[in-house]
Amino acid sequence: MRSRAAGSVTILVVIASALIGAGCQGGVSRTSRQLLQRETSRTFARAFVDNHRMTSGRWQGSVIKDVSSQCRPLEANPRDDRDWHWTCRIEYRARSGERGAPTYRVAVDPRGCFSATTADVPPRVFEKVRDRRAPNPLAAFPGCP
Amino acid sequence: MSSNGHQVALLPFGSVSRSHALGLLRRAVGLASLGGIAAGSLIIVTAAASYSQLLVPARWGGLPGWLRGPLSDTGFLLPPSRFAYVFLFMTACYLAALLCAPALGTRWIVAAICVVHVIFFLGPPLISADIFAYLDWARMGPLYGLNPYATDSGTVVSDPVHGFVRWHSLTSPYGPLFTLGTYGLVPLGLPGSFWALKLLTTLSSLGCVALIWRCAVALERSPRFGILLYGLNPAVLVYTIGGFHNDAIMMLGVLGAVYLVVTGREAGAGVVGALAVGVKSSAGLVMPFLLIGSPQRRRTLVAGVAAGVAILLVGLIAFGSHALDFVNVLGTQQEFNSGSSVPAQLGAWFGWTGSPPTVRLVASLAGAAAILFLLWRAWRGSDWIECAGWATLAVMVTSSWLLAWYVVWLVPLASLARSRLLQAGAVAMTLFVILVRMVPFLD
Repeated sequence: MRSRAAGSVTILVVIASALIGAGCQGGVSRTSRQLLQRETSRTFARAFVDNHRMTSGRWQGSVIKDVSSQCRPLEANPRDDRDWHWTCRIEYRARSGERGAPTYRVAVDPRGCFSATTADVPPRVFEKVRDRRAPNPLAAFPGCP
Repeated sequence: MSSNGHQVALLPFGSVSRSHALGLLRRAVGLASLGGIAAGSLIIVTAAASYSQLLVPARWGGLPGWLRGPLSDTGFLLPPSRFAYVFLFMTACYLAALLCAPALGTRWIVAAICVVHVIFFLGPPLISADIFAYLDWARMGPLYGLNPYATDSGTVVSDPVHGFVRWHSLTSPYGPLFTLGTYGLVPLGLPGSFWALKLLTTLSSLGCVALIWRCAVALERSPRFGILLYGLNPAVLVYTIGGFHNDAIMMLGVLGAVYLVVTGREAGAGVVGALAVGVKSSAGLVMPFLLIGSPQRRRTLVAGVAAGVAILLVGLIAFGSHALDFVNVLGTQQEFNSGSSVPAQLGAWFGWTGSPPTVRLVASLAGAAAILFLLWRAWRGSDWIECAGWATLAVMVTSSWLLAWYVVWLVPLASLARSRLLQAGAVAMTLFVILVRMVPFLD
């Protein structure tokens, strides 16, 4: 009985020490301008590939040539768990020659994940494989850095 | 005389107290190691559940609550370097636990295995998003009338699973039994089927632990060491169970077949072996050894072939001739190239990049020769489970496509081996798949 109690104490001490050791860190910032610009660009590029796949029925990983995002916060970083709102203008150029610069409203949650929405593209497009209209991947997309 | 007598009386007492102290020390180190593995698991899983980080590749589709699980908001931010240190800490604890295994009580080991499995079950999928590819192919058939053996993953962009899928141009490489089984999960919805598949994978791994125990008892080998070698293996835990890979389900079938052979139920072994291949054809590597090891080979063969034909017929009826492509998944994968394979890593010493065609050819020939040699050895009466383990190790070493969670193919077989060399080989492969991915992250 004593030996089992000693075993439990040994295990608990190791677990507690490891947790405390791993937890020695500073505060965590949910995002930064550079990070958000990079991540919204990447996620937009993936959404563009999805949009192309949806409408053409073919997957092509390199349909987009250039994409860049300019973001600015619409408010100060909330101290609580509310989303932090930004606006991002995403300029792109596709390999087909198509260009555009939709503006997205971006809500960043405390984890750093975001959802971007815009009214600058059609909300629904035709999905070839299902032969019906479906939400446009470019109109709203989630992302996590 | 009295002095001599005094010495004679003291020596045994001294050696007993020294061995007692050594035993206590081994026990303390062993218990601390079990605690270390549990702590490392908790740190990794709670971190993955709490923040957006590289640990969870499926985060591209967002991190909804049903994906993060109940441990969300309880963890620390774990940058890649810190994750690597925690993973290496777990690995060191595993090695220490193996060394101290004789001093550890069975209950402690079983409790630690159960606790870490529950921890990984509660977390999001780690290092891989393959579970969403399983669900993507599963949803294609029942919801959209598409054939997962003829349709690339990610085809239905409007499906809610799409954002989480990382592979976008592959048809299903898995067996028809697995695919049809996942069809049955679709009515649960995406979160429900995700958790059901996680539960299935975790229970399969715990089932592997139980079968290792029962096989070891039947073979008169140490069950305690066997379950420790598999059940607390950090690569199995983080990559296979943490990633919820169907390889654990496949290995449940493989070990079930092994158990039926060693307990003299040969026909059942043939059927269960065929079922394992029907989940993922990689199980087929063990089957010739199982057949050779079976005391009544004809019964095993007839039952296995009958079950295999039935599975193929089900596959053909459900999916058409495309379903047969799964049979050659190992051959197909040999055409791929992963930077973390042994041939690719050898390139750092010998001066090639990736796995060039000549290297791949030489490695494939070496692997095939090793398998043939091991089959011959098993035929000549060598321990067939050990031969199957060595053959699996040979495939892992020579394949140009090695994913870290494939270590689960090897460790259970090594757990049942009498050969310390094969067990050391399994530990070495565990270290390889961990170090090759973690060293680049270290500061």
